[in-house]
Amino acid sequence: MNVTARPTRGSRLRPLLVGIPYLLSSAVFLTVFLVSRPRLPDPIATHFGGSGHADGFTSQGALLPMGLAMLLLPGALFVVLAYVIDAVRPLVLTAYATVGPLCYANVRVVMDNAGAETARDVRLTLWEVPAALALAAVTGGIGLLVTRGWQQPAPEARIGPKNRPGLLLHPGETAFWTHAQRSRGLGIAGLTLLVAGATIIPLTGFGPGVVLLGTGLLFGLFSGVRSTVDRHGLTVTMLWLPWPRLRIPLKRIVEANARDINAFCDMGGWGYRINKGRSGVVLRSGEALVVQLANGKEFVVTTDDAATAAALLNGLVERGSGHAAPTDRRG
Amino acid sequence: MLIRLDHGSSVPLGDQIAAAVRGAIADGSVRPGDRLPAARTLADSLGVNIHTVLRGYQRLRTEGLIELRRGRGAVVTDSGDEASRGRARLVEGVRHLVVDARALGLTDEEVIDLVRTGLSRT
Repeated sequence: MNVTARPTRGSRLRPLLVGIPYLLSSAVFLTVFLVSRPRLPDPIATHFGGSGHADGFTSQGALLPMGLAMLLLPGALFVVLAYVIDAVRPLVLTAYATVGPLCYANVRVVMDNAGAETARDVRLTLWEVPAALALAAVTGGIGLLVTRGWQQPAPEARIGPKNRPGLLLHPGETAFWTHAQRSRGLGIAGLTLLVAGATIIPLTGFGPGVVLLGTGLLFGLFSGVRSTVDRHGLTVTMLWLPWPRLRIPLKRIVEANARDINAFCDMGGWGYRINKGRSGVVLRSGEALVVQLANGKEFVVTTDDAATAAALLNGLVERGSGHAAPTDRRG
Repeated sequence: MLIRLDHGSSVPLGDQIAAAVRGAIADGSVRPGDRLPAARTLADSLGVNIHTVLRGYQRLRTEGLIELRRGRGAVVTDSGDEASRGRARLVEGVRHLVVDARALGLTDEEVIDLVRTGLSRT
């Protein structure tokens, strides 16, 4: 059962729609560069310190490929993402809102340099930041217009069928379900970031390196998650650490279902997600255990064999959390 | 992996745990190299004594289906995907053989003789 309404008409062209503003921006940058070329110093100031003074320089020949790469690489990334996870509205809006400031930064560097005697004379004012933000709003707004009327699945539509039959538990029976879910993608991403972080610390100092190491560690931690269902309720832990532990007691659970979820559309991404009305641990798109809570919210954990987990949870809920499981001490 | 325990059954609880894990290895829901839940956790979840769980795990170890390592807990023996599943199914077959033989009133010697005869034929 698939809960996410997929775009239908013209949906194959939608990922390309994400790439178009990046191509247009590249054309704008190329034009501005070619027009201003006779008036550009060499090298060109391309990086500015907090005070607006130029502190980074690039040769004239290298600026063109660098500028184009800054626009085309993110554009390509967004197009690939759009193919992988569907050209959903939030993704298109992100792509459109990003292209404005990117294009602005590139064009601004060329125009600020144009006419300067040497690159050292080039100044940048603080007005560039609000201007870039304003442009993000403008291109984001264009994205809103482009995607107007795209169907967003209503949250109600995602709620699974009510009263799925639970696993029938006899009196005097106890049960336990567990599954360790691994994500190779998150593991590889985490490892890559760790290696990259460790590599750049000697080159750039601790700041950016530590950020990469931290992100890599987080990715690595979320690459393995164990879900457990027993008389206490649903427990989710990381595979590599005993703590932190998420436990949802049986008495907070109304019912459980197995559903297919889309990490991006339904949960807004990967890892531990908290959205309006729905939270959960997401390793991938696909089979997930979705638990309706007594407070009207949903808890989601992506795991294989979710149907068994849901049936057992429902069975346990039906039996009532009031009954203590029979305790065996005779062994 | 789903483990159901019938506390009213005549089958010892430790054997029920072993049978559930064996079944999970046989049907592939637990893979070679996977770690089984810690005995303490499982005992608490199922409401049984920790020694009951350990007895079940010990039985699986004797059958060559899991390894018990200090510090790492119980790990499903990794002899390749198919080999591990196949061995679990084989042990299940042996369990069935024993149950059927007992139901017919055969002695242990007679069962072993039967198996020996079966082996010599192939």
